[in-house]
Amino acid sequence: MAPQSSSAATRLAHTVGMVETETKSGQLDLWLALAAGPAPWLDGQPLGAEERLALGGGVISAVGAAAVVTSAAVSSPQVSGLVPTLALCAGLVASVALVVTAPFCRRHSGVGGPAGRLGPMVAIRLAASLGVLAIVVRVFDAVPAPAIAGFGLTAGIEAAVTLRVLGLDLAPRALLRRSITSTLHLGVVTALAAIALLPGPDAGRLIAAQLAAGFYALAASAMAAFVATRSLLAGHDRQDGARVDLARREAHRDSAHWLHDDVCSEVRYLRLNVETDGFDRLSLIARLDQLDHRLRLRQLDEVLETGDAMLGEIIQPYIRMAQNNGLDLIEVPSYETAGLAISAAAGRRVQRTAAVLVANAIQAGASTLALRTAVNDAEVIIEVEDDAGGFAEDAVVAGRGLDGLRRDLGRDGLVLQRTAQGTLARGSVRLHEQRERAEP
Amino acid sequence: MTVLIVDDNPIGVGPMAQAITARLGHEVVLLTEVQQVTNDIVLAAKPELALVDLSFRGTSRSGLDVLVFLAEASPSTALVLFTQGDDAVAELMRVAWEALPVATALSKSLPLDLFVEALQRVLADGEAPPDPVLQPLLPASRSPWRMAAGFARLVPHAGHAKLWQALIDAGTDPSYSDLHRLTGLKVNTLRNYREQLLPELGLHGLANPTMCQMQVFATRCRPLLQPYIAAGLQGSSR
Repeated sequence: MAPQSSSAATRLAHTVGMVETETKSGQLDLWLALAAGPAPWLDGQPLGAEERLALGGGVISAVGAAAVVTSAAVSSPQVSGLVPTLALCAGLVASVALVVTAPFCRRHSGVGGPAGRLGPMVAIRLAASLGVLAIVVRVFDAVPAPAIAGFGLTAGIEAAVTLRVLGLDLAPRALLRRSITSTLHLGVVTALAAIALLPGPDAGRLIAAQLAAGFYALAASAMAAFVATRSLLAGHDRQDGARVDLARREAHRDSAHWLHDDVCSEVRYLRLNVETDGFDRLSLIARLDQLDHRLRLRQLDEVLETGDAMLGEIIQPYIRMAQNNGLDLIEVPSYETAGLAISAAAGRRVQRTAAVLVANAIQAGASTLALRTAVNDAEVIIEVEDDAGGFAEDAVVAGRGLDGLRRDLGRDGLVLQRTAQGTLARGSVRLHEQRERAEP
Repeated sequence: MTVLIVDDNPIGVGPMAQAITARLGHEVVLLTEVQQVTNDIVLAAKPELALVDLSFRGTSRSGLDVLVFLAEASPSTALVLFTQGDDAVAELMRVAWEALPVATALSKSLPLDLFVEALQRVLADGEAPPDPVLQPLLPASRSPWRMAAGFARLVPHAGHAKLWQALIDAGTDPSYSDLHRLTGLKVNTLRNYREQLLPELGLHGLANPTMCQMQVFATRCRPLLQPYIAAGLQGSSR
């Protein structure tokens, strides 16, 4: 899709520019974004399938690493007694769960719901990570390589997904450079150097060396996972369904609109000119009206192809049809009911119902027409009332419009009532699928 | 008395213009581009009524630009929406209808007699019921929250102005990173600005919108947002 490509190009250009002009506050912003994970940047939209798959791999890595630590804790001489061991294991599981489930919380954007800020979420995830680290240190003399690799893979995968969601195509080399010059890394290096250089017991130096080895092993596995995930995801466009759908929907609407505006305007022009000049007026006007109506139905088909459509938009061609046939429209649906978005399938059923009922009123010779809609949880009700002098139920011809509609809607789906001036026809169309309001 | 018609399809509106002249006896000024609607034209024509189409091909401007301009430059002119009223312009039409003192809305498919009748009523009474074809697309009552002045609440300070301007300027589906590049604001700051706007956006029918949905809204409502964006950006540059 072209817009995606251009967006990707700007993102790539941005990558270069951003790296060159990075400030310390900007770096902090990036690390904060990474620590928060991908969820806060999705604005409530779902992750793409391949992104969920990648994060699932990260969860498996973390669970594997946690299993290594848990099994070690159970048999560790460092932890004596059943209760401390169970407490340790429970703490570990809870901490890992806090860290790895956050990316999947679509609605979360910080503690306190969608309106929350990043800070609390970042604090909780970092605290949980430190909890995992503390437990690991408590259980082992030195952090084991499998646990390091597992947690590192998780961090790397999540970083790659988060950057992708942010729209920042950060090259591994750029990330490495940022990591090396980050405040966190410089702090770690300074602390380790201080321990190594300052006079003190050898045990302290040994712990510092082990921590350094663990830290860099974690960073290396995270970087490897980042590179692998980034290259795997690079082959896919972001399958953010809602965004893609929105763009496609807008494009469909535009093309449908221009078909409508250009072609229909010409038709109207011809009609009005014929009307003025008096040349073959009646037959030509009728033909042009039919063409106009067909084009509008075709436009409606285009709209329904894109998915949900507004009820008002679906019935609009039939209001026009009645108006063009000289009927006085004494009542039409309000925005409050017609502003409802319904599925394409339900929309087609509504379309068919409105088509048959309005055409029936016109053919019966009505001069006024009221078209009403009502909606409940299960169905849309289309009501057409005319003044064509009444309608006998047994006049429904088998295989014709009303008979076919009755078969479509079910025995109780179509009701025909005689009124003082004419007929009230009511069609009940099942919604089936969940509906939502287009506007408040 | 003059009627101003702003529509990029002069052939399509030709019979309407003729009817206005022949049946109502009014002079018609027909403009086919949004850019042609200027102060000079309005001052010279002093239109009693303006028929404004909503969509103009090949430009990012819309009939909403014209309506906002006329509402400001010529408050005595009765504004009439003149549109196909199809799905592509339904939202834009609703925005214009609620934000501005629009006298009525007429569909381009309205029979000529009814069209003339509606204009007569607007000229006599200042307003007329919308064309039945368009009524299902227009709220029965206009929300005070969505009037033109209410758009100021969407730009409470300079940071929001930067965000809106970036959404208008950005390509399709901007990411946080794209918006960071365009605004110079941190991604977390952008996110906070978006969340600050959520209650107000809810009043415009946007429930927890993505940046992409906000961009569609910003593009559609640009003429209404622009004065407040400009004021916000001007304030930040001082």
